[in-house]
Amino acid sequence: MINFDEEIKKFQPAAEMHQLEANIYQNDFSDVADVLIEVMKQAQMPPQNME
Amino acid sequence: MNCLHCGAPVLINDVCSECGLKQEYLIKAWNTSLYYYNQGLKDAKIRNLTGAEEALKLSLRYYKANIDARNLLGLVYYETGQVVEALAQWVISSNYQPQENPALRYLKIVQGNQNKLNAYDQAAKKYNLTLHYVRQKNHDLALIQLKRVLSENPHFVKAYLVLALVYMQNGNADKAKKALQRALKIDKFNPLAQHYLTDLQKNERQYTSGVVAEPIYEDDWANEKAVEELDAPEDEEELDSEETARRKIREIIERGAAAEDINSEQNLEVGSYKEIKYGKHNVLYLIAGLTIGIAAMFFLIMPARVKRITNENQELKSAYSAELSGKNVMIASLQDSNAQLEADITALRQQMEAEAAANGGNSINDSVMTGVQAYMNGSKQDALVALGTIDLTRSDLSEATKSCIRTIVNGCPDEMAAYRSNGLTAYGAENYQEAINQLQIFCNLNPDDVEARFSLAKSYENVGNVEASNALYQDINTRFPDSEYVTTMYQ
Repeated sequence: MINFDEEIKKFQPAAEMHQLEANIYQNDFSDVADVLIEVMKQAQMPPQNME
Repeated sequence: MNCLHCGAPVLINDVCSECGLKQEYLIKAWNTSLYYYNQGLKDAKIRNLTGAEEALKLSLRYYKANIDARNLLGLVYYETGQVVEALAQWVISSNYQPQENPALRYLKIVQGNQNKLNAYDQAAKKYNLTLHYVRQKNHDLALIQLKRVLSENPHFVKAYLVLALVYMQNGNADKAKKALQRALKIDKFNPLAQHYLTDLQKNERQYTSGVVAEPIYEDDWANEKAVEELDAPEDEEELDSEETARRKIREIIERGAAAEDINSEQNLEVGSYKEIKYGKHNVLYLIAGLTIGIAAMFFLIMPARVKRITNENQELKSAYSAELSGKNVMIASLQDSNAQLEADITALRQQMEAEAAANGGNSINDSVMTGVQAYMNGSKQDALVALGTIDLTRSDLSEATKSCIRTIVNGCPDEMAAYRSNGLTAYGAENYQEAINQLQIFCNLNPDDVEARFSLAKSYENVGNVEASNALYQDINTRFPDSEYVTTMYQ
């Protein structure tokens, strides 16, 4: 049988209208190109711990 | 060729001149994004909205500026009642492509209806409140809130799932199944809904028996406790008053919900949960209030008003009667004074007629007016005839009248000289009556000519009018004492 409390924990609060702006910023995540650029930047940086 | 990421020119070694990305990777990422977009589109077409959501999220992970994928993800969110998430996707999409983007139309449609948008917001708030109630085991309030949520946002799949869970927890398997079917009508392959439905079908007896008051925990202690509660007989006396009250409320709500669902057995349309229509009751209350108000007006206010108006009318009537009697008295007195005045007028008129008769039937004013009118018309002879009846030596003549007559007389020297000469000639020829006719006019208008006056007195004396001749003699003696015509030889 279903564990009611465990199931209810899966439900997160719904986004309200005043959270729209925050939701937009959260949804504008990085794609493959952003990740590649970040990797390239890190590769070009000098190593910090030579040891 | 331009870079797929930043739009800068691509170098010959297939690397972007601006961002330095190798185009091969970007093309692969773009293709993968398109693949997942197609997957999401396919899922969306068969209403597998959960699958579509996952595929479209993956598509955007590979290429976040995939406008079609983002717009479709917004539509999927919108269809499952997650309006804020949908708006966020469309806003981002319109930011990436501000022209010729369907997201602009979607935003315009959704944001154009502020009432609907407010309803969605309220639904989200109530849903969050519901989760709070559910976590506090306040299932009755949670049920009420969930019904409101679904009446405001009938496509809210998560709300249907929570509703089903609450019904299952309360041992109401049929309603839980119905809620899950509604959720599956929107999202055909929703994994949670399918999982709950399967569990319901598997353990239907346990759910329908209404004994699932508390969850069955995995650990032994909890399990024992649950079993004890399941085995314990239901005894009202053992329950505290709060629990009894809660149960009663629950029964009332259940009965209400059952009444609402009578016709929904055949029709499992999405969003058939409706709030109680208080508007209908409001109309009834309004009509009842109006009826009571009108009755109160007729039985309480109107009699007092009628009485007041009657009193006012009576007061007005008596005031008018008093005024009328006063006016009648006044009319009587006025009639008396009118009769008196008419009598006075009659007496005065008789007096005037008598005086006019004494003046030969022609008043001085009439003579003056006639003379003036004739003079103005150029008839000097007629003017002198009219004015000649007025003796300028009369004491009752006003100076203005005398001055007016003298002015006219001075304007007629020839005519005056003719009267004088004709009169003296007639007197010399012993034609005394003609002499009187001529000289009387002349002497009246020129009383200072002693010779003409003496000749007139002599003419009167010769015709036997002693009174007139004596008056003229006395006048000559009085006014011209040094004149050669002074005489005492008259009778």
